[in-house]
This record gives sequence, structure tokens and C-alpha cells, in this order.
Amino acid sequence: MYVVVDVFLEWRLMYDDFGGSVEGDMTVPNQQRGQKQGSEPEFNTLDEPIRDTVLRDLRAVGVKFFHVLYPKEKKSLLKEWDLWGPLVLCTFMAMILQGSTDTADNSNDGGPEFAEVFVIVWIGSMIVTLNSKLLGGNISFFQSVCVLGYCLLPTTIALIVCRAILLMEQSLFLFIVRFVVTMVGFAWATFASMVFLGDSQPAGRKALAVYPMFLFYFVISWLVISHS
Amino acid sequence: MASSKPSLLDMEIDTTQKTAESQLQFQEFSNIGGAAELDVKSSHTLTFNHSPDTPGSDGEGPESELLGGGEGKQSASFWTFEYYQQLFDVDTKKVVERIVWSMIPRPGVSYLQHHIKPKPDLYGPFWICVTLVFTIAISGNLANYIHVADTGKYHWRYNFHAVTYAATAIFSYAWLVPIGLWGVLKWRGQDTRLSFLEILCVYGYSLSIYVPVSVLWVIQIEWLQWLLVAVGATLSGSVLLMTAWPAVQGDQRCIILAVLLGLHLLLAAGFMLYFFHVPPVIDTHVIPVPSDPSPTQASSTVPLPSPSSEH
Repeated sequence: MYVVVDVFLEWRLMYDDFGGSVEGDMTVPNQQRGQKQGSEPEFNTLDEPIRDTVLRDLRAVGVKFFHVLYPKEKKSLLKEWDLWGPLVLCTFMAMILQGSTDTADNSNDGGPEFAEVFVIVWIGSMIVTLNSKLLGGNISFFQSVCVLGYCLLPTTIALIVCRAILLMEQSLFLFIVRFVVTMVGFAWATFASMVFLGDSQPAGRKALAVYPMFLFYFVISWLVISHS
Repeated sequence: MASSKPSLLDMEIDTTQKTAESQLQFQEFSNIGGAAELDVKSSHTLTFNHSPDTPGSDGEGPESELLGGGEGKQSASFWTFEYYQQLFDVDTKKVVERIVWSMIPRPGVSYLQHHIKPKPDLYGPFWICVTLVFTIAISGNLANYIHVADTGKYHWRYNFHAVTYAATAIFSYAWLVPIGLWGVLKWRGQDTRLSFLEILCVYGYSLSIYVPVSVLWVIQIEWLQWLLVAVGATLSGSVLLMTAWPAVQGDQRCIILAVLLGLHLLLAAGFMLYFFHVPPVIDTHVIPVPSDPSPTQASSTVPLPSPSSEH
């Protein structure tokens, strides 16, 4: 204990000496967040109730969801990345979209398995990110994965609507409704990710970076519309 | 950000050692702290130097080494990110140009010399292959759907695993054939004219014509489908052959080129037959149609309710 206190003392000294340049990453992961909210730079997350910590993170995820549905501020999703939203969306989609392949003959609806959807979403967003990094985009890897994952929200909403429609008796009209809903979700997701990530590319390469995103959401929308 | 962590760790270790002795070691600490800060700063500048500079600066350095098609040069920086960055050093205009001219053979104008030669890229080949995988899977399913919808019932099951088959076929074609061609050239001692990257690039772009073709294959008219196979394979195959023509020398030239064209044609015909023709056959025994005279009562009652109630 003595040693730990001492480390803190040293740290304080250094902190005084070198100002903001070193103090970024301490062992307390929530420190940055606390400072951004404008409170004084004390380690206030250590003695707060767990409920507050969880609620703050949940709120951050909720705010990001809102920004995807209403993509106006460009930098709002890029400030701090987290992968909670993508994880929730991806797991939900994979759960709904998975086909039943266990009975080989009749109830096999030819859909993907849980893991296949999961892999398509994660590996897909990683490949799209890697592509934009290789093209020379100035954005960090996880920021981009985070944005691509959060922008799945419109397609997830489309999936929920389609699932609700599928409960009714099917007809051609309802298929057209599902098609339109899926297309709107697809366009929305592509537009949102373009707003957030489009500027990170050098001029003349924007289309090259946007095309893989388009393809990514197109494939996922195809899975959504085909799920029946 | 993460680079400041090791220095912090070091300091912690140091503190545990030194605070056990006395408190007077504070002075030591400020020294170590200074060193740590230097580290942080230098690593920051390092990362800054890496990312924005490479697209521009790589244009002269390793790029020119690649020009000679030297395999030996690649090993120098093969594991670095910058090595792959220079393979993606293309602009939108360039990619569109390459795609267009890979579909239209121009006699007397070498596709390789005019469009590929300065900088072969992997952006086009990779994304053309991915696009082709999904257009074939999606439009194959669409063709199947149209066929099912013709029978008057809208209960239709899609086949996701067409993606897997299409991906296997396309990626193995786009990799194995260039490797094979390059191996043959190397074995015959003629690899100086075509580097492996150039072959890979040309092959990737030559698949681009199958993207629109695979969308058009949805139209279920048999002669049109075969016509598309012939036109697609001829157009992009002739660009391929004109590229490979000067590189392949000797008496077996015709055999090698015929094999290349044959493989290209075979790929197109295979896609068409497997993804756009077989579905009618599959769907008659996967989905028993009640209006069919043959099925028994058991098979017509079982399949219909199960998929929707499954979830």
C-alpha cells in the first residue's frame, strides 16, 4: 500500500512538471471521460457507485445510437470509440438471421448460421476499415470499426420491422413493403457511415473508400430481406 | 496514447525498487520522468511520420523497385503496413479506367503497358472479387426466386451458402491461375516481362466484366445466358491474351494461351450453370409444390408451416 501511495505521489510530481503531455493514460480507464465532463482531474470514478459507471457507459452508447439515426454532427461518433453498440447489434442480428440447418430436409431455410453472420459483420467491418487505412485514411482502426458497427442500427431496425411483417400472412404487397423498408435502412446506414467516415480520406479516393461500405451494408441488407 | 504505458510501467517498477530505500530518490524520478516524456514524444512523432507521409513518399522509393517485378525486393518490407499501402495507392479515376479497359480490347494498345504498368494495385482485384462473389450469390438467389414466383407461391427459401461456393471459386481462380501462369513463366525463364503482381492485377480486373454479366444472367432466357457467357469471356479473355501474348514466348505459346482462355471460359460457364441454371432443379425437390402431381400427402403437409414457426 505504501508503494502504491508513493507511486501516486511521484505521479503527482510528474504531473506538475510536465503538464498535459504525459497524463493521458493512467491506470484508471475512465479518467479521460471524467475530465471531458469538465470536472476537476481527480480520480472520481474510483469511489463512485457501480451503477453510475454502468449508467454513464450506457448513456454513451445511447447517445451514439441517436447520432447514427440523426447523422448531423460529423465528429460525434469519432470522439470516443466503444464496441458495445456493435456487439449488441451484431449479436441481435445474428440471432434473428440464423437459419435452421439442423433438420436437413424440410425446415432448412438456407439461411446463414449464427457464426456466419457474426463473422460477416466483424470481419467485414475490419476489412472495410483496413481498406480505408490502406488507401491512406487518417482514422484509427477501432474508430472506424466502431462507426461501421454503430451504423448497423438502421438495418437492424429494418430487420425488426421485417420480422414483424413476417408474422402476418405473406403476400406480394407485404414483400414490397419489406423491400422498401430494407432499402431505406440500407440507404440510411450507408449515408450515416459516409457522413462520419467520408472526410477521413484524401481527395480523389473518397469513392474508393465509400464503395466497400456500400457493399458491406448491401450484403447485410440482402441478408435482412432474404430472411423469411 | 498506448505508447505512454510502457514508460509508466517502467516507472512503477523503478519506484517499487527505489522507494524501499529512501524518499530522497525523488530527483532520480524527475530524470526518469524526463526520459519517459522524451520517449512518448518521439514515439508520437514517429507515428505521425508514418501515416501521412507514406502515400506520397512511397511513390518514388519502393514503387520503383516493384517496377522491375523483383520478388527479392518485396521481402525487405513485406511485413510492414507500408508495403501493402503502396499496393492500394490508386485514385478513383485510375480504377475506373482500369475496369473499363479490362472489358474492351483495343487492338494495338497494350492494356498492361497503358494502364497497369506504372503501379499494379490490389484494390481493384480484391474488391472486384468480393463484388463478384456477392453479385453472383445475390442474383443467383434472385433467379431462383423468379423461378419460384412463377409457380405462384411466394414461399421461397434463400440459399446463403451460395456465397461460400462463389467465394471459393472466385478467390481460388483469381489466385491459383496467376500463380500457375507466373510459375510457368518462371519455369521457362521468361518472368522478366511480367511480374507476379501485374499478372494478379490483370486477372483481378479481367473478372470485372462478370459483375454486370452476372446481374444480366438473372433473365431466364437460355440463349441469352449463353450469349452472355460467350461475350463476357471473349471480351475480357482477349484483353488477357493480349497482355500475356508478348510475355509468353516459344513453341508452346499457343497451348498456354489456349489454356488461359479455356479456363476463363470455363469459369463463366461454370458460374452460369451452377448458380443460374441448377436452381430450378434444386427447388423442385427442396420445396415440394402442392400442384405437382407426384408428391405424396406427407411431403406436402410437412414443409410449409415449419420454417416460419421455427423462429
